[in-house]
Amino acid sequence: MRETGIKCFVSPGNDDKWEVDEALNKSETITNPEEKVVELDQHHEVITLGLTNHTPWKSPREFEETELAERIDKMAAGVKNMNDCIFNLHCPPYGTVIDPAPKLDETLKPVLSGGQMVMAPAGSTAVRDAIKKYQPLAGFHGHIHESKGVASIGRTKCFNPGSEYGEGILRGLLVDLTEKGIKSYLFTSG
Amino acid sequence: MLAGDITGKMIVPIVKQPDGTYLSSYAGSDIRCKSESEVQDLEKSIRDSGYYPYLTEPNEMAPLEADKNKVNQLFTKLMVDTVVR
Repeated sequence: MRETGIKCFVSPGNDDKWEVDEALNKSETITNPEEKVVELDQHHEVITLGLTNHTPWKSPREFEETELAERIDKMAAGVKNMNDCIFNLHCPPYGTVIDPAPKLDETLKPVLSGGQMVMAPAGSTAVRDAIKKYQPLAGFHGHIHESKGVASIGRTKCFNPGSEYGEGILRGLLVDLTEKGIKSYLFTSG
Repeated sequence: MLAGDITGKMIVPIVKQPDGTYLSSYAGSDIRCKSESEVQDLEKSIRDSGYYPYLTEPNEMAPLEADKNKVNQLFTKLMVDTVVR
């Protein structure tokens, strides 16, 4: 990888303990972009936040929405060209097609209705509001494994490739970025 | 970009038995490996499912089962080792 000259960014999510950062930051091959503004190429910047709002699972990196908003705002203040910026925010925007997760009861079991799992929005209002406010080129999200898809918030296309890690499948997203914006995109699985 | 939740979800012990075989409780079944290659296949399967295989022996399992802190320390070590690898 090092010899290819290809930039590779690896960042933590809410399920990752804080010790992960130290391991990532030691690498000479990959870059940990967490809570930074980094240049993807000469036209596109990326801001990254692996923290999420609170979940029933009490994972290591959960914060109040106000805290998420502050951290996003701090990074956004350092972006030179918001029109071509990518918001790489682990938590998807609240109330979109890419944030429904199974609703859980008090014992953390999925709630069923008519034999089907009941779904409920689990994304972040801070992420939604930041995308509405700043209108970047794209939002790259994850966190909610069941809700692969694309959502539009104003001019911003927000993507969630979903996850099937338990099946040994890595889901991804290929995005062809040009000076004029997103030329095309393709969800991948393998 | 590889963004978020790069940590495995749990440790799956593979315990060496006195007769030289390895026993593991994984995916709802007890799995016995009779050769090193079977152990390697099981380790790969466990990793591919997002877990951490851990080769161990019965005398190490007892202290782990008795002390959650030891399990947490082991989990952190396996997590960091895997990220570095």
